[in-house]
Amino acid sequence: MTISALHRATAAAALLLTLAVAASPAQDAARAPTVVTPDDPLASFPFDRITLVDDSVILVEPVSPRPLPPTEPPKAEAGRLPRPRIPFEGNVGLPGEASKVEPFQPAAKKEDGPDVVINVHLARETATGRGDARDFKLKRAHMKRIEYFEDILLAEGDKLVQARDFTRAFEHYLRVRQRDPDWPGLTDRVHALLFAEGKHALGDGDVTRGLRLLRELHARRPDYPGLVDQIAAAYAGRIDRAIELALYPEGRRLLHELEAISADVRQARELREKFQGLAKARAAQVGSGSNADRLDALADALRIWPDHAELEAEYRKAFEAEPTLEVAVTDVAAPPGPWLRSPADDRIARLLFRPVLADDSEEARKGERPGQLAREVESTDLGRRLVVHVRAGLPWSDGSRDVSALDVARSFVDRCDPRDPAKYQARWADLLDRARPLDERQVELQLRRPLLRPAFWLDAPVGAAHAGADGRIVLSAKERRLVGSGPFVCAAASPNAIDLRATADASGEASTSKVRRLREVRYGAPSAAMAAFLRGDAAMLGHVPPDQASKLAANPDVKIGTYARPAVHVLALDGRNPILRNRTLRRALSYAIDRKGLLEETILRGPSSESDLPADGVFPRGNGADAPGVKPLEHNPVLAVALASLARRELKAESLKLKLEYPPIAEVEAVVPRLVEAFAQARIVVEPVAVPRSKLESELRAGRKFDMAYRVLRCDEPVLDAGLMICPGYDAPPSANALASAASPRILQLLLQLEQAAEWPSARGMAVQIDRELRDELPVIPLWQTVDRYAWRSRLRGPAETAERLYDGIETWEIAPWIAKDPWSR
Amino acid sequence: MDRQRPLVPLILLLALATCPARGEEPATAIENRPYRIALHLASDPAARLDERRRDELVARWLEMVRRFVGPAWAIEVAAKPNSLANDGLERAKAEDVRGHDPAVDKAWFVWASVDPATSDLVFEGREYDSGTRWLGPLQRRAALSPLDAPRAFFLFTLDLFSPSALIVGQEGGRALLKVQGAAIPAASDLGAIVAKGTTFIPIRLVTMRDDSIRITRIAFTYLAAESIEGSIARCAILSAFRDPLSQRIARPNTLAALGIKPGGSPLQLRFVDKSTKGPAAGYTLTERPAPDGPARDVGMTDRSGRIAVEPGPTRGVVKLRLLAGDSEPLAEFPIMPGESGEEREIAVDPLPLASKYQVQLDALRDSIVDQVALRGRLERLMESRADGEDWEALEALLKEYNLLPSPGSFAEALKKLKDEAVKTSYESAKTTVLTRHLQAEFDEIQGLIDGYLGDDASRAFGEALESHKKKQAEKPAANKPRPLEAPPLPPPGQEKAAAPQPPG
Repeated sequence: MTISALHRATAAAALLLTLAVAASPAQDAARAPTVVTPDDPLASFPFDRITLVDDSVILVEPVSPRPLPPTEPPKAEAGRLPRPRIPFEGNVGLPGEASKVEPFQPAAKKEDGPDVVINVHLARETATGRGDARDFKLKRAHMKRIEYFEDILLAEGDKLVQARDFTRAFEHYLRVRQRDPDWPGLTDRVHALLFAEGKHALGDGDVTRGLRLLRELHARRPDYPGLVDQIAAAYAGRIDRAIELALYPEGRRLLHELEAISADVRQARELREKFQGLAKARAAQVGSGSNADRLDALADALRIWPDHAELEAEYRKAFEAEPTLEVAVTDVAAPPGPWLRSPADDRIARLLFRPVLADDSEEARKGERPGQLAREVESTDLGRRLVVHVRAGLPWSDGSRDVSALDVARSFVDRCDPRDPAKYQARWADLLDRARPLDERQVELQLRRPLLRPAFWLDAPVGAAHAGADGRIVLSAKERRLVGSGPFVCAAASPNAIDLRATADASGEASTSKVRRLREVRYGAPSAAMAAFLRGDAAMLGHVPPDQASKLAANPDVKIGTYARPAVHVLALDGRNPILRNRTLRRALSYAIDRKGLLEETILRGPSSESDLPADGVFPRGNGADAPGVKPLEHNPVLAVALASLARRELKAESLKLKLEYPPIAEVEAVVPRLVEAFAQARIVVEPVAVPRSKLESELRAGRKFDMAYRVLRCDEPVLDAGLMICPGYDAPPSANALASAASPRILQLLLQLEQAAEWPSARGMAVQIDRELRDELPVIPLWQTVDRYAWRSRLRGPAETAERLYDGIETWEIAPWIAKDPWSR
Repeated sequence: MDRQRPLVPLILLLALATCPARGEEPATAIENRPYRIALHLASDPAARLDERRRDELVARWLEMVRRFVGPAWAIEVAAKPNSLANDGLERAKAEDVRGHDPAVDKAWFVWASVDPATSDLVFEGREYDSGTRWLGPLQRRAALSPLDAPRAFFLFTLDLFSPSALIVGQEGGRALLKVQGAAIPAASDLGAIVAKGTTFIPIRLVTMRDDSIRITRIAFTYLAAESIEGSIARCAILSAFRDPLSQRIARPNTLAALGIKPGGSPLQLRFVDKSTKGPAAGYTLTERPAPDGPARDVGMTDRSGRIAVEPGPTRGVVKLRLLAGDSEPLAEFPIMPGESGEEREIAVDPLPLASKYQVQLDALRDSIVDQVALRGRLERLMESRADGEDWEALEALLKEYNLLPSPGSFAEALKKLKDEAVKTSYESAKTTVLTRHLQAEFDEIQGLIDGYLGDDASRAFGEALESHKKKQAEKPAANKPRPLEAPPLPPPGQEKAAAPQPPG
């Protein structure tokens, strides 16, 4: 019988805790071998080994009682009955008298007990082969020694422990326990086994298992010699490693466990001091000495060791001076700039740069909306000529000058330069005939056709004309600063975090923000972002996985908000790959996916609803462009296999191999292996590759080639968003040949016709037609749509329950200081 | 090149070709007349082609011309090259040619420079044909070594040279071309004026009312030499038109032809909607070597309807086809990639209604293909169940089979779609709806329904099942113990007497 180490450890604990419980006879019977094999007691029928006085050894079935009572030394007269005594007057009676002769009455012979003689039954038949009797009475006096089966097992187990074959040793002890949980010496041996195995595991580097075994031993026998020292040394090693990796909460948890075992142990004291020392040292590293640096230092110090009253007081003071909102996200804009090429850009661009128009309302056109550059937008020549009047008194964040018509004109022209794929927008390049500043405050735009929705084109971030192509100015040989006009300014940006500060100038709107600092921290794994949020390191979570929403909502310290637009999940396909240009293969891919099953089992972990449901196109259900009466996309694995086989023949390919790039979003990470499995069942080999979301989106939008890409889309206006939703490189420079990436030429033609639409009714009709034809043409593989949520902790006040974007209304938000305390110290 | 000034050289050419001059020395027939070629060789200073080296190069090149081409080329090297021979040669137009001697048949403007990437000596040049005022495509050739320069230059001039011809008639659907200088024996095969495969473009010369001559290239038409018989080249006509060399022209006219060889520049095309003049964006362009080579995708027209066609490995005439929705052909025409770097605009009818029906037909065909696959699978399963006499499983499969949509529903959907298309085509005068391709699609899908969606197999299995059931129903009757033989019925009227009486 082979049992895994984990099972053994668990069973060992059970063994120790249930020694008193008798073994199940049925189980023993079921396990009992039928042959006696003295060399392998584990596989043998139970037997005892008796050595007789002549040194001959016999194997007998287990004797009873067990163990045998000690033998009594023979007493000389003991047991001899007293003889009848003849009375002094004689025992001959007179006539008429009763006889005085006492008849001899032999006393009933007392049966010899197990201390004298035992019944034995030979375990093996004698070698004569005559079927001789196997039952005997054996005088204890004739026995030189008896080895019980349990002792044989224990002895064998001891040998195996010496040989470090802990699994087999455990099995021997387990058999003893099944026979008699109270067998003398069993408990000590199990303790020794746990100690030896735990020590050995620690030595082998399997610290988790070693510690678990030793903890079990500690629970059973705290005073086991050398145990506490061993545990403390192991814990100290792990805690040191956790400190090295900056996993302070884990380190503290381990320290807490160690202190629970023994608070007085030397290592525990030293480690506690080490934590406190590290916290103090971190608090002392204040960088440039600014309040933000000081706050970061104190927050980091308290994350190392939260129970530090002095540091906490300092932290609260620093926080009040610069209220900081930390947001846990799975991607950050890298690098941030005056462009929109990924969801992360979309999140922060409005904080850094003001758009020309904030929205499409009449108030915005008249310049009555805050947070926009336009004082007024005039439209003439049937909408083909726009004159943007730029507000006065909006300074750039570097303080060099105010935003002028030149900046606006340059941003419009930059979007037509195919050499700059970050800003280039093919549709805008096709639309714009000319952009020129009329004077310091007015920009004239000549368009080739009127704009259906001016705000869609005029809400792009406007960078400074005196900055470089990346929106930055040179401060020194090593430092280039991003120049913006929004309520926040970028203080630092790296691939893992972005630090925005509220502008400190007196321009008006920005300085009213109560959150003075915004830090987006990128966590590589969605679970890490969630853990940081739950721990309290982050006050806001940019995306809540659908299956976690109800769990988070149950937490009284957490509030859940919903994005106004649902997220539509699709698999984008690159038509530049001839395999994916094949319609039959696209249909095979679609048939292979059990949308409802995957949505309910993997994404939602619950039933689908009216808002979380399988998708039949790129436009969310209920959207104006969602064509009515479109048949849902079916799941039919038989057809998937058949069509994939047909596609292989059409393509003259022996196998179909594709790469699926996906962003590390929790639900996407969960479902991608299932999708790969579904495709594999249709004999389409798909290799999944995780790519950071910003990187993936920005590269796809720049026209990079791919095979399949998992995209999570939000649709604001289907007429204007359809192109980018269906063909990721729709706005890419012509050199990328990204239009050819639309896997269906028919849908591409419709998209290009939609682009030329001059009025809303025909545009909307065309969008509906695209949605209807998309089901059959399959330029993308629609998957499902879900409600997209964000969450914040109660120490942050202000976020709305429904928002278009994460930071909508941030200027009114308030945040209180808070440090994540360990659960045991609360 | 619609309207041109009266052209002396062309008239001379035609006159020489048709009748000898009166009272003068007898005119040379066109096929015996060598080409008078003026070479304008200029060089970039970086090419380090000084006068001595230039003279040496030209001398060795002329020697090669003599050895391989012979007297068909009468070369004159211009002492002072024409100003057109410079690095802007690719952008030059025929109108830019000035100071050209009209007595010269062809002028070669050659620019020698250095490739900045490889440092090779590079010759670039274009040929100007005096007769047709046609500036040929840019040709380019690099000399890998200075010692190899004369040979490279000779090969370059072979690329540059285009023969001139008169179209003297048509026979069996082929055009007959009398080629200038074709009767002059070539010094070698390499120097043959015309050979099998030589491609010409036809040009129409129309004498206008004011005696001027209008020179018009017959669009989308090429003549590919199939055989050479003396000085006559028999050419296949590759054209987008039914009768491109028609003589049904009101004014007196002559048909000439000019050889053409592809250069290295991609062909720039722009497709526009013929009704709206808007760009025909997002359409697929395919090409196949003329006349019937394998097709391949060229690409997709961009937002402005533009697409570039690179000269392919065949370096000859190809047939381009513009498709809507990957299948509906909008235009098909022959063209030679590399013949010009200038953009050509082509108007097409985007056939929006035909494309719409095409999509619906594709969807219908998909669902039919799915049904064929599902039915085929069920039929195979039913066959194995019937062979194994697993009648219960067969019955279950038959039930599953019967749940599938009936072939009639597909035929009905197809008929409905066709009726709708016919109705739309009557209503719509602006655009064609029922194109040939669409009609073929309708027929093909009808064929699919008739050929693959029959119920014969399921009916056969159903009958087998019924037969089995019937046998099963008969079996118990046969195996049932026969009832005891009934006593003979008593004669009428004695029933009561014959009936057994109860005891007692």
